[in-house]
Amino acid sequence: MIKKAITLKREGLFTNFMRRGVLTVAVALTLLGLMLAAITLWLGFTWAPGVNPDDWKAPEAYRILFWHVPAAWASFQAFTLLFIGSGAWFLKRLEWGWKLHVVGAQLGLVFGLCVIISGPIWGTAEWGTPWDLTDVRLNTYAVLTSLSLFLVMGHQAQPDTEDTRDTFSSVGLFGFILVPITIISIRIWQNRHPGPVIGGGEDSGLDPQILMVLLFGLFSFQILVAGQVMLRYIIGGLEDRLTEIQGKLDTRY
Amino acid sequence: MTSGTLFLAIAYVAMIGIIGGWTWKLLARVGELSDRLSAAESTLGINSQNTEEE
Repeated sequence: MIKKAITLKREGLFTNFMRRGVLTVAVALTLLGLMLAAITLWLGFTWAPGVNPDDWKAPEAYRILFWHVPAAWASFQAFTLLFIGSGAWFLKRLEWGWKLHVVGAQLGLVFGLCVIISGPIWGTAEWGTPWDLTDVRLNTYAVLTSLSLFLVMGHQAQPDTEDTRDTFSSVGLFGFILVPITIISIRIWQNRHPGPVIGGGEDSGLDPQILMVLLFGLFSFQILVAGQVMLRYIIGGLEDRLTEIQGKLDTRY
Repeated sequence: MTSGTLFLAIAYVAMIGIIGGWTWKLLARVGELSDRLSAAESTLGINSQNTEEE
C-alpha cells in the first residue's frame, strides 16, 4: 500500500513536471515567435530596399507585406487545423478534435483580423479605396474571417453539447472550401489584389532582399503559431482539470 | 505622407495590438488557471490527478 502510494506520488510529480515542461516550451516558442516577428519588422523597415516610386502610388506602404502575407498564411494554417479538428470530432467524436477546432477558430480569427484590417489600410493608400466588391480574393477572405468570428462567438454563446459541436464542426468542414478558393483566386480572377509574388509567372517575383525578409517573416509566424496553438491547447487541458477538481471539491464539501 | 508611411504605421500598430493583445490574454489565462488549479489541488491535498487516487 505504501509502495503504491509512493509510486503514485512519483507519477504525480512526473505529470506536474511534464505539464510545466510543455508549458515552458509553449511560452518560449510564443515569445521567440514574437521576437522574430519584431526582427522581421525591423529588417523590413531598415534593410529591405524601397520599390520604384513610379510604379506605385504609395511606394513605402508596400512594406505592409512583411506581416500581412505571413499573417494570411498563419490564418490558412489555423483554418486547416479547424478543418482537421472539425473532421475528427464530426466523424470520430474525438475530444482532441474538438479542442483543435476551437484552437483553429480562435487563431483563424486573430490572424484573419490582422489581414482584414491591414489590407484595406494599405488599399486606401495604394488604390485610394479600402475595398473592391468585385475582387474575389478580398471577398472570399472576408467571408472566411467572418466564419471564424461566427464560430468563436458561437462557442462562447452556446452550451457545450454534442449537437452544438456537430453544428459548429460542419461549419468548420464546409467553410474550409474557401481556403483553396482564396489561395487560387489571385491566379484565376485577379482584379485589384496584387498577384502572387512566388511562382506567379514572368511578371511576378521579388527583389532577393525583400524575398528574404518575407521568408524570414513566414518562418517567424510559423514559430508564433506553433507556440500559440500549444498555449491554447494547454489552457483547454487546465480548464478540464480545474472543472474535474472543482467537481471533486463540491462532492467532498 | 503620399508615400503611405502613415497608413503603414496605422496598419502595423493595429496588427501589433491584435497579436500582442491575444498573446497577453493567453499568457494571463494560463497564469490564472495555474494559480486556481494549484489552490484547488492544495485544498484537496494532492499534487496531481494520480496522487489523488491514493
